[in-house]
Amino acid sequence: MQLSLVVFRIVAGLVLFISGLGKAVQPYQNFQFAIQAYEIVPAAAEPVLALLLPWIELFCGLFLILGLWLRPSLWVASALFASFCAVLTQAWWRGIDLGSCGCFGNSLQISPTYMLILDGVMLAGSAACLRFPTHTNRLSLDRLFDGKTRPDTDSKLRDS
Amino acid sequence: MINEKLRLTIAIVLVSAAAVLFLQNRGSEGQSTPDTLDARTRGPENAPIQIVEFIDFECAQCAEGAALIREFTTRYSDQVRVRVYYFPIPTHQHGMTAAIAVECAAQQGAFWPMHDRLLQQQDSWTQAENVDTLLREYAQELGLDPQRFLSCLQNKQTRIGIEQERQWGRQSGVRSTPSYVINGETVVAPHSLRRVLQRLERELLLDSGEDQG
Repeated sequence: MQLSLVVFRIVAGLVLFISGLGKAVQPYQNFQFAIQAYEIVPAAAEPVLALLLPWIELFCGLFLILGLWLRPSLWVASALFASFCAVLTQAWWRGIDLGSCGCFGNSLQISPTYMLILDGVMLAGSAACLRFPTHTNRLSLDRLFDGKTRPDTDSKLRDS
Repeated sequence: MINEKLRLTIAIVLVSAAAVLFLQNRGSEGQSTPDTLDARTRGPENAPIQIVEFIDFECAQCAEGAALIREFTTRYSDQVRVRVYYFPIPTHQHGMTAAIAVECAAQQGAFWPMHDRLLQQQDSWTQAENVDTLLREYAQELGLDPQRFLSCLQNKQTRIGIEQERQWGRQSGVRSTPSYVINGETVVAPHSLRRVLQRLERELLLDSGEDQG
């Protein structure tokens, strides 16, 4: 259980990091082009989202891999995965033919269906990591800086 | 301890941001819209009718509109100037690939043959399993240098240029294809284009009648 949550945290971090990096190194217009395909974001917000989202993914992913600021990073990751699931689902519901989801920039083409499954699994994993923070923060910089969390933290957090 | 953690966080953020910006700048050298506007323009510079087209090569209505314009320009070749801008629609699976192929043909001076071919044979290449191979075959049949064509297809700058041209189109108010600007008037879709071309034809005939009279 402990190891699987740590692995999940790192895998979720890698997914976000690769996805953010793939888009951040390319001109933001490329990602804006992908955003437009979903026909959900107002035109004025498209460039802002295209500029900001890759950096949020990149840093959130990096922090998850390193185990730095784990709780806030896990909340952000969960929110991102939940939004991705919602956006992909609405595109499928409205019958928008996307071809590729545009999630990893132009470097990696993944179909929206596979991406929806991946985002769903990642969302479940992030939620599990949030529920069991003491298990998740093994092999993390948080543990190094904040000291070992007491074993009863999980139950207290669940009760609160 | 918290100060050390903050310091490490700031260091990580700065180092990663610097690395990404470095990669970003390295990849964006020479970024601009395609430099083939002359090749994508035909007709006399001071023609009384100026038509600007924003098209997606996968869009069926664009093919219809292009046929109307072709017919019109054939009849009034000395009165019309046409300029084409790329506007691939994101939801069209091969719209961008086709625009890249046409741009690569334009770089070898064959914009119009490739433009006509893709719009006239839309049904065959849009249904093809391997569109890239088919587009390379078209290029070969048009007598283009295959190596130069392939290297242009693979060049990221070609795609970036087309995307930037599309962004420029959006900033200019284009939302769908085909869109036309005819003597400053925005016209969307072939049925409106047909109406405007008919009106222009009447005006041209009237002018020539007055000249003769």
